Amino acid sequence: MDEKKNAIDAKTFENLLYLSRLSPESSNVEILAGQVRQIVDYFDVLAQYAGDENPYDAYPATTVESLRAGDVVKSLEPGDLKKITPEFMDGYFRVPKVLGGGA
Amino acid sequence: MNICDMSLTELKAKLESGELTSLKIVEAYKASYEADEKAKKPLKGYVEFYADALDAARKADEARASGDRRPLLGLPFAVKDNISIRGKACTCGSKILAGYVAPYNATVAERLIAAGAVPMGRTNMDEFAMGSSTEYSCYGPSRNPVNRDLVPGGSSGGSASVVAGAQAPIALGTETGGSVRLPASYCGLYGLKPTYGTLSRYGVVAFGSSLDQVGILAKNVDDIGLVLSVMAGKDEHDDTSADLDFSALAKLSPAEIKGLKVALPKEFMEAKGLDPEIARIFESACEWFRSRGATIETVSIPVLEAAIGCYYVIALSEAASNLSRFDGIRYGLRKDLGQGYDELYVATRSDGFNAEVKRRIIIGNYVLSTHFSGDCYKKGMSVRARIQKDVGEVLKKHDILLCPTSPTTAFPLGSRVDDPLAMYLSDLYTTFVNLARIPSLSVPFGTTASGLPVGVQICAAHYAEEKILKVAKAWEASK
Repeated sequence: MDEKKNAIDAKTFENLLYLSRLSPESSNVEILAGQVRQIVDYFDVLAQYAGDENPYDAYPATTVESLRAGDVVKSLEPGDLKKITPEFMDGYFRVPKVLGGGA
Repeated sequence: MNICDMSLTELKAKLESGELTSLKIVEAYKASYEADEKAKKPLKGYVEFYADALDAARKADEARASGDRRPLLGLPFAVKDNISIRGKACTCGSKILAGYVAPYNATVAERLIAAGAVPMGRTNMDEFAMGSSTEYSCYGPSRNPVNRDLVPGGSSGGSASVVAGAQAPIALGTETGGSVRLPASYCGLYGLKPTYGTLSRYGVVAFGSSLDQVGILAKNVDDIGLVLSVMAGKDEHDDTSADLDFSALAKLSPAEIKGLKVALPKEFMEAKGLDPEIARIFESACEWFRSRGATIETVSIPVLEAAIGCYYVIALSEAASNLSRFDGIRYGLRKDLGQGYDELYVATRSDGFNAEVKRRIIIGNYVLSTHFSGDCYKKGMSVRARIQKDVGEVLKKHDILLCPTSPTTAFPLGSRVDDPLAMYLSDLYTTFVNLARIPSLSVPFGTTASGLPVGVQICAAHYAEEKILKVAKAWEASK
């Protein structure tokens, strides 16, 4: 994987407009491309601080956002599932009708 | 005192004593708004003053007469144009959402309304909350009530403008990188950005989902505490909301400043672009703490120098993703050229978004593409992890962190609108708070020689809103 950024030339900018679903005719592309280049260059400030922290540590940051531990627990057996509801048809669980069809 | 100059808590006391009715209060704000609309340079804080606000106020008065005693009964509030109010337009200051009507209440609004509060109008903002001046709005700019040739800050500039301009007692804003604190600082108000998780984001149009948080603009600390106590807490519609009890915020006492440990980040004090007058006012704020027995310690958090770069990498990546939903099919504007879905999608977005939003979406897509930007996003996340860690370490050893809210005072309308990088640097002191997800309150600590307000931020550890508000109340009480 290329870890280095590409310069934003006219072709790259055209691709970025496509990714953004924006028309090249809608804006003054030259000015916009110049401003994007200027801002992207500013991101170089990150280089001197990045790398020594695991990016995934940015999430989660608080206990509230902590997910439960990744413990493996036994799943329900078919017999247990059948105890949850008596609603069966043709060997499948019945579900509420939804728009456009369904059981 | 004029009704429109009263704080929310003063209005509450007058309502409860029977000296005022909700109808009188809303009528007074409506008259203030309508008079201002005729001014030579109107504030333009509201994009819509709700036609049914007077009816809602009448109903609140009837409810009070029949014994209803809900905590915010009959008290009006203004709401930023990206917070959903059922049956009302919610356009995020964007042409692309023209005609969109919110089908449900945002949880923060729902809780205020359930407590009896009256939504009075929606306020102007930078399109999709992307800006620091409220100039990037499809409705045109708002003005700063302190000096109408200056910006009110952004992106919640309309909310700040109506509160500082005596058109609402309190207003909700939203923050992604300083959009409540910056307008508060520029307009001489208190502005709280709570901990990420204190308030539900359900019904708030997303910009940067890992950074967004609803905030409050008010004239005093008690108003913020009262409103926050009603809105905060677990919401089943937002998994990131905290299951904590915030009821103590409804009644705050001043903190004991003696013995308080205060951290000052050296990097912010030495930052290029810090206005000497702001530095002087900030020093007087430090002296206020010192003279009351607080211990002030200068700390070094070098990574803060990369906070703005880190913020824009992450925020714009999330924005590019969040705003992809505006496709001309589901919401608002539709520009159908009759050539198919792809063309409709491109034409709608090209016509519906302004230049700043387009710029941010393009940068976001650049960052998200490894092919173009290499490991830019990964670097941003790594720096964010470091900011969280280093700021967290400082806040383990200190009660609060103190810094200016903005390196400058409010700037003239139009002066930065064509220079996006200069506009982004307005957020020099605010973005690290959102990246670290901590709470921060901008307090109007002083004014420059020319009378422009200057805010100072009080930041603390996660969910330490009560501590921050009590410290601010101690300062408020000493005035």
